[in-house]
Amino acid sequence: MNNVLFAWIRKEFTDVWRNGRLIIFLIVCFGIGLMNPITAKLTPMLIEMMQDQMKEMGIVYDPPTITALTSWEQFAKNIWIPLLVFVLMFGNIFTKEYGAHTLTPMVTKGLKKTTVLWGKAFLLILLWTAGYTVYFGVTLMYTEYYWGTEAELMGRVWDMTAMFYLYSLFILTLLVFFSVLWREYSGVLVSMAAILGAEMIFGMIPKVTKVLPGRISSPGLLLQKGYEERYEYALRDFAVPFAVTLAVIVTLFVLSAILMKRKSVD
Amino acid sequence: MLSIEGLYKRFGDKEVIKGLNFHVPKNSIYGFVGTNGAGKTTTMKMVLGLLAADAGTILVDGERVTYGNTDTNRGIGYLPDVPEFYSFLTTREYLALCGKICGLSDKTTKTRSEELLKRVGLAGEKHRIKGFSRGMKQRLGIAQALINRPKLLICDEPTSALDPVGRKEILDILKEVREETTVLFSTHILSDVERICTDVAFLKDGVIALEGNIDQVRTLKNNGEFLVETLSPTGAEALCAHFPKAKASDAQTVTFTGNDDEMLSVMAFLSENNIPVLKVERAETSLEDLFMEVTKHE
Repeated sequence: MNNVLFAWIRKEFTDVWRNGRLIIFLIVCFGIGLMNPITAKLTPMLIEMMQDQMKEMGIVYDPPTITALTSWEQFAKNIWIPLLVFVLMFGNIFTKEYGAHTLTPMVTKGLKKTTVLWGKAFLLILLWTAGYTVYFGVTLMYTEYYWGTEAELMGRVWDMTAMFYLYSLFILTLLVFFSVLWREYSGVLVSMAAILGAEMIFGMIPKVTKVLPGRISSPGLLLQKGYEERYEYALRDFAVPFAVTLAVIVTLFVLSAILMKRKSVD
Repeated sequence: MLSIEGLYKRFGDKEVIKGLNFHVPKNSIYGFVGTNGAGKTTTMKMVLGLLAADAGTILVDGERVTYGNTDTNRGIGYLPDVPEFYSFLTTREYLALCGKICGLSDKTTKTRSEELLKRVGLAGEKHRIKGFSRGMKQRLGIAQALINRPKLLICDEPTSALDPVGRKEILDILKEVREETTVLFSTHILSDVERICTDVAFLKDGVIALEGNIDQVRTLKNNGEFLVETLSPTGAEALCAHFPKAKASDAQTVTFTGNDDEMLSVMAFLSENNIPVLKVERAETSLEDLFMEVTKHE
């Protein structure tokens, strides 16, 4: 890594470290990661406590059997929360510099705009990976402690985690791309929302949904019954959107670099 | 050091720069004067490659400026009108980052940072930039602009938002750095130009209305007027009687128009006739008068 890029990344890291955002984000990821096994663990107890009340109301409900799968289902259900928190906490990493004009002295010293782009993109990926690892790690640790995950399920959990990781990189790439395109954070958020909205609308068309990145945004499907028996087929089902997402990520990064060179950062 | 030829820039329907030409000599302090909105900042941003010119050539030390990642910035230091820094860094950390970007070694950056912080009066400042006053930021701005010993230092209205003490500090620093660099300094405060600049250009309607060495510029518009104030009205009367072209401004003051010979002959007459005087003064055109004259609307 060249000296300037390294110095730039270090400056970015110092920012998120000193203003406390990194720690807050990691704590949030820890908390949400912990919620998955805890919710699974507490659900039957809560149902049992409410049994009498429910009986009076004429509802008969057998407490479900809780296994590691329940915890991982919670993991899949909540997987969007850390990503949403991340985008809201770190999404203005580019636009705040445009607004504050802090890039002007740097660029006029010869800092390449593409170095700004790669440095910030690298830091976003690094921070998100750290948070996602904490989120996954905490769920894994407590799920193992309470129930233990059998090897076959664990394989699917790894696939699911990797799949959503790629989707999260797609979201980060959108964030980077729109941050190069617009000067205002609101513009970035609205554009991202528009893309995700459009993806949902097009996702309603069965033939189209099979190739869209959104297909890998709900990895919990891999845990559902039915997928167990036809797992190999299911993975093939995800292969095309997986490849499309990768291609979109690469294309967006190339476009971002081209646009960044022409962008007025003053 | 800096040469601009036939520069044009338009924003929508408004043409801001309309064929600008000017040359900044090496080791000068060049005052770039214009009213608000005259196009000073636009011109500077084009020199820095931050804005694309519609037409024209900009050369920095003989090298052509291009929009985007221009290599000419290696030799330029820039101080924006309101410099903004990373508030979470200390002054030394900020200068270390600047040094890295300029390709300086860690050792050189450290030595140069200490030298510059001492020069701008921030050597004792160990805290983060957050909470710095405007004057402190302006001084740090000069330090960061000079970190790589640039051949050209561009300052965009560096004193316009400062109190008199802050202004004096900045002007003194700019005067000092002339030994090592050329300074292009935009402003609308004419007293600042008179205080430190060696050269000046007045920008009006997107073109240079007047340009040159500050003494020459003054002489250009100087019509050779001088005045004599005598101790008593009789002395003034004697002068008016002897010199028919002389004009009495008041009972004791007489105004003459002419060259040095004319002035010497007036002084000889005063001496020969023992006429006591209070003062003999050459009337110099002030920059303010000049500026008002060249920027007035027809």
